[in-house]
Amino acid sequence: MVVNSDLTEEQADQIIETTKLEYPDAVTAKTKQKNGLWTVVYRIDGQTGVVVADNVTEQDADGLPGA
Amino acid sequence: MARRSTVASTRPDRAPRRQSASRGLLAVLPLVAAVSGCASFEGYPERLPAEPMVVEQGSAAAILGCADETCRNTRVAARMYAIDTNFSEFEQKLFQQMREAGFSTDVLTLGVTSAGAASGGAAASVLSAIGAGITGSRAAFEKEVLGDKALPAIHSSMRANRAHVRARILTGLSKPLKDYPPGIALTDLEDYYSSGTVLSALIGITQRAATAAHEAEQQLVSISGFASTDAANFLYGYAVADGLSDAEKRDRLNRIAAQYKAQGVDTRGIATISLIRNPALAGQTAAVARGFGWKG
Repeated sequence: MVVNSDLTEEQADQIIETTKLEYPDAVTAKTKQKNGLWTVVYRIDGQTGVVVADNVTEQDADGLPGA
Repeated sequence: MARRSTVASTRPDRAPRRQSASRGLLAVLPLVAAVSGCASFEGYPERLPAEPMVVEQGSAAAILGCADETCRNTRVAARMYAIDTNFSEFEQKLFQQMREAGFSTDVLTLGVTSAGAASGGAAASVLSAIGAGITGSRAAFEKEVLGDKALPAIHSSMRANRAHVRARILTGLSKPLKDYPPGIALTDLEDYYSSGTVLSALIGITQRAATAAHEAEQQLVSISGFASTDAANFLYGYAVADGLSDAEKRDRLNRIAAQYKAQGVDTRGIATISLIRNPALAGQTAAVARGFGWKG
C-alpha cells in the first residue's frame, strides 16, 4: 500500500488518475489533511491492509480504505 | 390426560401401545437422521476415558517425587495422556455445542414461521415476531460466543498451541534429569493444559493477527511531497503524451518502471507515477529520464 502525502489537490488527482491508468483495478482514496494539503492512499495487485493517517480530518478519513 | 398416557406407554405392561409408539418412532428416525445428520457427522469417535491409574501416575506429587529419567518420563507421559483425554472431550463438547445450538434454533424458527404462515392475520404477526426473535438469539449466540467461522480457527489454534508445547516437553524428556527436572516438566505440563483452552486459542489468533498487521505495516510505502523537477515533468509528459491510447500510455509507464528497477529501486506495489513524483528518487528519476531522451 502506498501513501502519497503533502500534495496539492491537483497533484493528488494526477497521482490517482495515472495510477488508475496503469492499474485499472487499483483501489484509491484521497483525503484532505488538516493543513489543507492532500493525501492519496492506494493499493494495487490485491494488497490488503488498513492505513491510519495522521493529520486527517474526521470527515476526510472516511474516504480511507478500511476507515 | 395425554401426559399420563405417555408415561403409561413406557411401562412393560403396555406392550402393545409401546410397540405402536416404537413404530412411530422408527418412522420418524430416518427424518431426524436426515435433518440432524447421521452418526458419522458427530465428527469425533467414541473413545475410552482415562484410567484412574493413569491419572494417579501423572499427579503432581508423583512427578515431583521422581529421582530418575525413566520415572520422570513415564509419569509426565501419563499426565500428558490424561490432559489429551480431557482435551478431546472438551473439543468434542465445544464442537457439538455449536452444531446443536444451530440445529435446534433452526428447527424452532422453521416450526414457528411455518405456523405463522399457515394461521394468517394477527396471530401470524405474533408468531412471525417470535420466529424473528429466535433467529436473532441464534445470531447473537454465534456472534457473542464463537461464530461459525471462528470455531475452526479456535480448534486449529488450540491444536497448534498444544503441538508447540508438546514438542517442548518431548525435547525436555530426552534430556538428563538435571537439565529437565520434574518441577520444570510440571510447569510445561500446566502450559500444555492451558494451550488447549479457548482463551489460549484466542490469544494465539490475536498474536498472529498482530504479526500480520506488522508485516503489512512493513510493506507500507510512504512518500511525502511531489517532485516537479524537469526530469520528473519530462517523464510524466512522455508517459501520458497526447494522442497516445491508454494501452500505449500503460506500456510507457511499464517501461519507465522497469528502468527504475534497473536503477535498484524497489518498485513492488508502487505505481510508476509515485516513482516519478517521489522527491526522494530525484537522482534515479534524472537517470531514467535521460534514458528516454531527456537532455538535462
